[in-house]
Amino acid sequence: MTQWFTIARVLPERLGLNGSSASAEILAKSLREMGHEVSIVDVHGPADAPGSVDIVTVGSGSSSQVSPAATELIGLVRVFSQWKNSGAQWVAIGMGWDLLGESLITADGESVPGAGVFPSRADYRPGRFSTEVHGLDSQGRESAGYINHLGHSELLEGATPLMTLENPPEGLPVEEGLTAPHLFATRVGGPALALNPHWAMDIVSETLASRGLTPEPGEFHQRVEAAASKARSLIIERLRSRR
Amino acid sequence: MGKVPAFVVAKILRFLTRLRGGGSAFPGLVLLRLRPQVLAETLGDLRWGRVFVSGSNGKSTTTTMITSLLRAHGLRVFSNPAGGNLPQGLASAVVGQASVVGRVKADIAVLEVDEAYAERIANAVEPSWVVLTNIQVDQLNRFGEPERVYAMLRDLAARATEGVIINAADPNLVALGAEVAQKGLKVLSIEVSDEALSTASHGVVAAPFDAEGAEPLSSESVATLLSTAGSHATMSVGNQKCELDLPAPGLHYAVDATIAVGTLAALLGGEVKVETVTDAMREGTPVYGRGETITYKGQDFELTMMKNLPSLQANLDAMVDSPALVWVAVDEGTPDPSWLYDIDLGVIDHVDVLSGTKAWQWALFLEHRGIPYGDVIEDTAQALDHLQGLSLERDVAVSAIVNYEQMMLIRRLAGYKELEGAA
Repeated sequence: MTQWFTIARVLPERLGLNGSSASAEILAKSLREMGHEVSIVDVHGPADAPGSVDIVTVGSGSSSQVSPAATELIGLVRVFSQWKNSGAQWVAIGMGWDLLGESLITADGESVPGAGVFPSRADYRPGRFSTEVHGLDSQGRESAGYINHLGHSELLEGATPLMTLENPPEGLPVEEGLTAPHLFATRVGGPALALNPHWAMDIVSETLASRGLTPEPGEFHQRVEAAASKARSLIIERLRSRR
Repeated sequence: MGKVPAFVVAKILRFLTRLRGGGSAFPGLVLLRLRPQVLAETLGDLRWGRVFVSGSNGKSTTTTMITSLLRAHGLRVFSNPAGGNLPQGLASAVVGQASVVGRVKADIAVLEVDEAYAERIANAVEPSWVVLTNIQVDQLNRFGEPERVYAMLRDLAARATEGVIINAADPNLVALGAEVAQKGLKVLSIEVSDEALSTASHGVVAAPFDAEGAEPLSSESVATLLSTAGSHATMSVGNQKCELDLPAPGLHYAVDATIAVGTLAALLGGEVKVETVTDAMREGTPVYGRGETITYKGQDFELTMMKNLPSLQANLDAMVDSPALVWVAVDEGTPDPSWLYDIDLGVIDHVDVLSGTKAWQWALFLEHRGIPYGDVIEDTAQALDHLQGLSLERDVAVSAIVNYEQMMLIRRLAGYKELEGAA
């Protein structure tokens, strides 16, 4: 039976660098291909925030966006609390995750308060990592992508790493990302959910479960899984050949 | 090593590398090792100085245009070939254009300069003018974020001894111009009218850099792009109006041409000859690999470069009709193609063949956009033959969207021997 779902895309202009606002598009496509209706609402402040949403996505940005984005997110804290209490799924990439965490220390050492949605703390002082990565996620599934991000994140109580990287470059922590009930975050950039459709399916499944539904993947999902598997294999092949 | 022996060695190396086919930056690299001060020695005392052209996109095109406009106005111009924008590329151009005693017969140098190497080149030979085309989202795997490019270009601009010319349609460059103007530098600008901007769905595709708090820029405008349609551009320079037919269509191309005309006006003052500008622009050709059509076994392949998000978006915005036969070829030269998801594919309603090592990432992108695609042939040589056959069968040209490395490979497979950056 067709259901209506709403995805909130938070500050897409500020936090949408390098394809990172594509999470909403990818999840919407997955749900639509199961026969559901999905609307994506861009949220810039409390005035355009829907009262309830099923999924919240936030992307990454560049360093000049930290301060203005943090200020705008503070204005949304009450809305976030409402969404969180109603059981929305949260999907955050890169800087969006960091700004929705507890706090962020910039490369200059300035401390910026986070919106407190994710139990994590980010520190940009260790510098930038820009590399393809792969490893097994918390459910043992092969996962891969590209990280182009500053520093690292510390997970707080209640969160577990999304994946364990295989032979990451020096300085890049082995544990990557965050999962917790209703929460998904990663520094794997841009189309992380496209390259790893098992993650997209986890989020879609939880969203459907909240309405008592089960996912019904079709031909689109099979094609995406097949293409993603080949794309990931090439990344893994490249990384292993460099060792 | 002495100047003359160093040039003799470099010229012999140049001769040998050209015997093997194409050109190379190797003779320049060797010359810089043998004679580190060679750029200052050869280009440091040119009567009209040195113009450095930098920015995220349009460097090669703008450099080529400025060079041809100055030559058409009677100046002897030294320039580096498209893409030869690192120190060794510049030195290779010196090897090619200097006499055996290391003398360059030129009045002015117009140099395309890579953003990341700009400071190093400025340390070797000072820029008189710095011309900045834009700051866009480009090579994030290399630069991290556009803020770093802003800082590099700002530091380059601060080295100009005469002045800085910026594209004022890019708000990042307006902020940069204001910053260097505060230090007492002369800042000139080119303007782009709203009418011209509206011809491309995504405007000038400036990087989303947050320049809140930047000082307003008060600069003298040296040229204005009034309107553009297809490959025709109308601009004003001083009290004169120019109607130009350009070698390629698109707002980005017209903006590059306006920057070139504006630079000419800044250098020559009121002596710009409109007819000369019109003729020089009409006779120009697209820079190597950018909007170029190559032929393989009798079939045409129109190359559209996907160097980065803004360059691909600008090229897509300039397409009027849906291409009939579309090939996308992308490899490791685009290490992180995440930015694809920010692209508006415009008139592209299908893709016939995907190739290169990033083909499957493109396939995923097209799946999520709901755009049908045909075969995935990872091997580019096989894909080229397959498309040649399709082109012959359907009697249409192939529209090839390619990254730089695939463009080079396809040109080589098609028998085009000359290399970019070869001096």
